[in-house]
Amino acid sequence: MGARPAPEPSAEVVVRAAEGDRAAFADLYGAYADDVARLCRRLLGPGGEAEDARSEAFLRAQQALASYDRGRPFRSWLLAIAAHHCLDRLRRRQVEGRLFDAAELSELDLPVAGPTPLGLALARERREQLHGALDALPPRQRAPLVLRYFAELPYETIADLLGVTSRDVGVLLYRAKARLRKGLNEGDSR
Amino acid sequence: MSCPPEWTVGAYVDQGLAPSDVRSIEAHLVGCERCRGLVLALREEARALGELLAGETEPAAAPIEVVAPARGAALGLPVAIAATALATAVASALYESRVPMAWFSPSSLLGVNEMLFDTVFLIRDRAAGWFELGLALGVLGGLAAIATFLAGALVRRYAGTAALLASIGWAFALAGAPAEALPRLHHQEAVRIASGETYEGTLAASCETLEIEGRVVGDVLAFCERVSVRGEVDGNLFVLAREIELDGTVTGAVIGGGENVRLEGSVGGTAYLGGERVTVSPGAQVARDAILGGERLRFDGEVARDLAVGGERVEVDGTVGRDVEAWGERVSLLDGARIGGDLRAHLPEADRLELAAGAVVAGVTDVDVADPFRHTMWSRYRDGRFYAWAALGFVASFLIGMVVYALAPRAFAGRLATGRDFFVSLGVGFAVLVLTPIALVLVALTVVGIPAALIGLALWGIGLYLGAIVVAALIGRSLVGGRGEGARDFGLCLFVGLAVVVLVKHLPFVGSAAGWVIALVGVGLLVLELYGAWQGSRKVRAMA
Repeated sequence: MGARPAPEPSAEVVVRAAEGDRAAFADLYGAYADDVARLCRRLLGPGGEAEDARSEAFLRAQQALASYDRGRPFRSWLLAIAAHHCLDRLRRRQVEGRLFDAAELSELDLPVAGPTPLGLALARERREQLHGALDALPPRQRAPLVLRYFAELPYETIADLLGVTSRDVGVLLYRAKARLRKGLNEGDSR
Repeated sequence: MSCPPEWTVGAYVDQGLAPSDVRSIEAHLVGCERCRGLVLALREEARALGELLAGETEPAAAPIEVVAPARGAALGLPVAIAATALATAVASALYESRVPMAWFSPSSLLGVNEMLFDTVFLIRDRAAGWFELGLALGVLGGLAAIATFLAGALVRRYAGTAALLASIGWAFALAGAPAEALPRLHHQEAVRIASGETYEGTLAASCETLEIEGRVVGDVLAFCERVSVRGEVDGNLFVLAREIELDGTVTGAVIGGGENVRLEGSVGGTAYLGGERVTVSPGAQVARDAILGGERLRFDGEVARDLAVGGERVEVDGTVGRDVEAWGERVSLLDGARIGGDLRAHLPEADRLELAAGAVVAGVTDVDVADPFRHTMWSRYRDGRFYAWAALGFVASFLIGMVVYALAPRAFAGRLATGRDFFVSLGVGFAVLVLTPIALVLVALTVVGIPAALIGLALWGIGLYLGAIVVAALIGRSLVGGRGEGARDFGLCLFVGLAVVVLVKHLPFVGSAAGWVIALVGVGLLVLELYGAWQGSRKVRAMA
């Protein structure tokens, strides 16, 4: 139940892995496999694809390790690679090939007064229901939530990944949260 | 100043705002209690979402897939080879100490052949019923599955098409009576091709007695208590029976095994006969070679080319066009023996060869006193042909390995990361080695199963051969380093690995043991990989 993300790896391990040391890379894998798996599972939904995506993400990370900037947190870097790969897969699933359409991001059709954010925080104990509401979101609404609150990526990175502006990220997040709160409320009234 | 929209406050909480926006929001927060509350609530919400997304119960991470391969081979291989070598050493020490172990020889076990046949026939009689039942259930299940699939896939959109297809399907099913759709299984008491009758096509029979007095144009596959051919078979004859009597003519080859085997007619091809007692009577003629094996062998007939015989007691009183090669406890050439070429006898002692005064050997008579250990273990290293064959084997394995890699790289995907992996693969390989022949015999007991069993046997052999190549690639990968992907890298790994494997296999004493261990581990890896692929495809189908 790795509720807390793994701590940052030592710089030495990352350097050795980048130099092709398999044991060092295996250490990194061991430390982050769960996080990456969870991210893929969250973005792609349940099923075998998440498992494939994780393997593929590590493969890409191994290839890209040489270009890793040690100033950045390793976890964010790795999760951004995994997210990039998962979003590619999601785009391939979409018929139109575009996950986030700029036209949809107009502020005008934002939900007006949504239920209060605290409802979600207070519902923390009702895990099952929350998971259900989360899984019920369409992938393009779930993706920003996962990237921000699980992968803890900064807005600029999320914006790059999704192909939108930083400002749009805020809108997307707001919309997803509003929908999540609404789903939770509907669950209550049922 | 009016309150900023919630998404802006959210971006502020998430540190996603530009510095100038941050300053203006902070200025607003100082004077707006409502927005301060919103910030706190959003912060709490963000924390809750983080926990929610992270705290999911996931299946444990799969084992690490990127570790260096073949550590398992490095750990397990020496242990397994040492164990096998030890067993071989004990066995050979026992053999050399001349402990009376004659009872251990299968051919001298009293009644073992009879027991074997009894068991085999018993299973055959039962298995046929099981097989037919299984086949019928399988066909029904298959039809049901197809119908369900059609219904599921088509009814939603194309109800009309589905109905049409279904009715066409049923029409077919009803028109072709099931009995005719199934292959004919001869499980009668007796199958008889009467004199004057001609049977066209392959005759496959599993019965009490098979009598061919007429003519069969095609191959004969027979598995019976008693088989007698007095007529003509214009094709090959494959037969397994307790009693085999061949008085007629077979234009092709004869491959037969049984308890009592008697050849009195003529064979157009090569005759391979094995049994407890094999007799080739005076009138018999074999147009090509005769290869005979059994406990007691008597050859009075005529063979146009070579005769190879192996048995405890070998008696030759007939005519052989070319050479005779004989293995046995005792070999006798009687007065009527006429050998056109050389005679080579492999005997435990030189005086076990009896040459009657009237026997004629046109070529050289050579007695080879077989001392299996001193002879085979070292002498081969002095023979140039040994190295030529080893090199040829190496080249062949390399080429085949490259072809397999090009066609199915997945075959080499197995890894031996730990010693445990090694022994799991070895165990699976051993199970495949032992269980496959048993399964094949069971399949072959039912007549339609004979071709299936032959294919299975071929696959089994190919698997054992490929197994060694798979392990060689693994060993090469661990020695060369690198991922061993791409034809060039893989070729290098395979080359190095095969060199090691061929070297190990030809080591004196431990070589054959090592060869078996390597082949079995490889088979295990292949089987596990196949199983994994099958499971994977099932998962994919389940998702679809």
